[in-house]
Amino acid sequence: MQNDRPVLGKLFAVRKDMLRGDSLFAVIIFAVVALFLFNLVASVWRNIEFQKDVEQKASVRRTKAVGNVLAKAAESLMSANELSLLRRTVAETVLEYHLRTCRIILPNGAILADADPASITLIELPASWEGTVAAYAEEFTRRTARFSYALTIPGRGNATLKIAAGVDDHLEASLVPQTAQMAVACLALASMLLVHRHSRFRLKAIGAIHEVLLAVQEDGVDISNLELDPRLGREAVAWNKLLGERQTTQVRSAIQQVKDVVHEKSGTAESFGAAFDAVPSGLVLVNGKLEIEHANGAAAIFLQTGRTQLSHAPISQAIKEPRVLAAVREAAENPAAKRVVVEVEQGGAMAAGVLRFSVLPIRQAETRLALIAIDDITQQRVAAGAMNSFLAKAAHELRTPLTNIRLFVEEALEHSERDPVATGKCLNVVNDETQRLDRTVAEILSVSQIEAGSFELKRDDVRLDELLQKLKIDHEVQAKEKRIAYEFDLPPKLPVLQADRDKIAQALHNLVGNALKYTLDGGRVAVSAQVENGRLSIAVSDTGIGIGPEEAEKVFEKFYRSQNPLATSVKGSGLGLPIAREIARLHGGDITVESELGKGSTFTLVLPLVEASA
Amino acid sequence: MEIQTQYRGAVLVVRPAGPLAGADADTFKTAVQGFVRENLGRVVLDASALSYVDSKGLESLADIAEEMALSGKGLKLCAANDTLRQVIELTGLAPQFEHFEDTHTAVRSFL
Repeated sequence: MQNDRPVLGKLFAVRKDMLRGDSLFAVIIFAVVALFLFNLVASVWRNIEFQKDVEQKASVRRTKAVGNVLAKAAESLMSANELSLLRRTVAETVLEYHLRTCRIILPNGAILADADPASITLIELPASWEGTVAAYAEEFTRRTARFSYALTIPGRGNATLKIAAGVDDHLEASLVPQTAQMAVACLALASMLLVHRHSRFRLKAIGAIHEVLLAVQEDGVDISNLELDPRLGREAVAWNKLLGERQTTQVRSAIQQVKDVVHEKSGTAESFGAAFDAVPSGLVLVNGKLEIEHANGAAAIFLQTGRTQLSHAPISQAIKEPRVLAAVREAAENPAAKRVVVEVEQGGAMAAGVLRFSVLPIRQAETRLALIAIDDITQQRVAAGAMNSFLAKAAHELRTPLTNIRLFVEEALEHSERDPVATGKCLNVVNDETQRLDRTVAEILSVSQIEAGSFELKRDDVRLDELLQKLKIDHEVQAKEKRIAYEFDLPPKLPVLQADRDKIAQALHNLVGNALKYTLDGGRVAVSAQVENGRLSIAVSDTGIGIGPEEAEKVFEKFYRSQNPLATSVKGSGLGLPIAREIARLHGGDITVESELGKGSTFTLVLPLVEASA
Repeated sequence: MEIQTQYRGAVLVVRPAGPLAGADADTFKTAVQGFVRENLGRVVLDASALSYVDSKGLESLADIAEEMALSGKGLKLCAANDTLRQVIELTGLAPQFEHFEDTHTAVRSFL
């Protein structure tokens, strides 16, 4: 596959390889350049030394030649006693040939001529002098060449010419270019050393970044471990900044993702909460610490507290019933706990009722929760109680006429042949009891229909004047039997009702029938009607035995019989008034009672007026 | 406005009579919310005697229904006349109410 790589790829690979060996490459290059520069410096130095040697030798030779010429000239001038010329010649020679010293000395030490006139000690040349002088001599030091010449002046005597010259006085000027060249080479070498040192320092950061970039290509590299030492330079600092920004971006992205997830979860939680609240049963979720995790709105109402008070509150604070608390504790602690149902009767004036607490354990992998479902079963309890009471009372009401029928049938059978009159009386009683039984069964049927919800209204136009007229006629005989004043006080015009005619008639018959039953002979029963504020009121007043205030509402309970001894003697099922009130209520109305014990009662049927369709 | 109450078993039937409007609406709302709390939500609103409901009254009905909805219950409204039903439908409040023909049916719904 390597052969298939494009040219650019190969170049890149070569470059990469070079970059990867950048330290060795740089060292080699540096070594070559350094060697070259060192060689250059050495060459310049050697050249300088060589030129210096040549120049010194030339200087010595030149000074020696000057000395020879000056010595000959001095002998001639001294012989001719031309001292002024001699001294000028010495001075000019010194200046011309850059001599350091040049003087002529007699054997007695007197200085006849010198480059410095102040040093001359002998002004006039004597005619002759004694003494000998040393032969030619030369002396060399590192920087100076000294020569001594013996002068012979015929007829006068001997003298010495001493000259000294610097061997490198001209050399320094001639060596300036080489020195400069060497200095430049040294400077270049030093600069290169500095550049190399700096470059090597900078390349450390770049090389480290390069290595890091190569490492990034590998999988599973933790970006947070790729930070460089800031001391590596600005590149390392910039790289770390890039890494930091990347990490910041990653962290922000992660935070955003978490936020999204949380938001999603919170959305789910909101949906969960909304679904929780939509349940009509109270729901309370309890955790292993027996604290409320969540409670819906229905639970808050059933427990008669606010939702905020329920949130994370101990369950024992919200529910006081020990049986429920024990069941919750068991469900939260024991994964094998079974569902427990506890019915609790709430006392007090506020929120009296019956609540059913169903405690269910919720099993999860690690967490243990208990769910308390609270249902209001008050109405069911009331209905069940009413049904039980109804059945018991209905059985009693049916048994009484049935017992009478059985007894009087037996008596009739016993006297059927011997006493036809007694037999007839017995059969009359049986007939009455049978009718009573029929009425009772009819009433029980009505009540059972009411309880079952099948006591339906068949609304139609009801002409009240006709209805009340028939009511009057139906009870006139009964009133006459007891010599009761039976009166109707009706307005000249009565509205037409939208109602169930038969059931309204049944309700009115029950009211008037009761009034006649519980009114003693010679009493008075009056029926009146009036329309006021869109409501029809039909009042049935009597001068009967009356009802005590403690029984005013109880008389509307099914099978209730007044404790008044005068009332217990009157036959009745205790269903007439409850049925009448139920009929009124089904029509949107009601029946109320005003009564005074021993003076009489007024039952008022109130019905809302609904416009007739015709 | 007169507010009549009547227990049918454990259920309280609340029967406002007259117009549900203006300042009466607030009184009505406060009273019914109290009944709801006292009776653990076992309340039926008998609308048979409501002669007129204005926007304020409608708002009070909506507030009561909304509070009951938070506890998973609907406001049981019975015997509402056609006008009130239409207003409730048009204003989109119908889903917040449970409608019954009469109080008996509404009371039986608690069983």
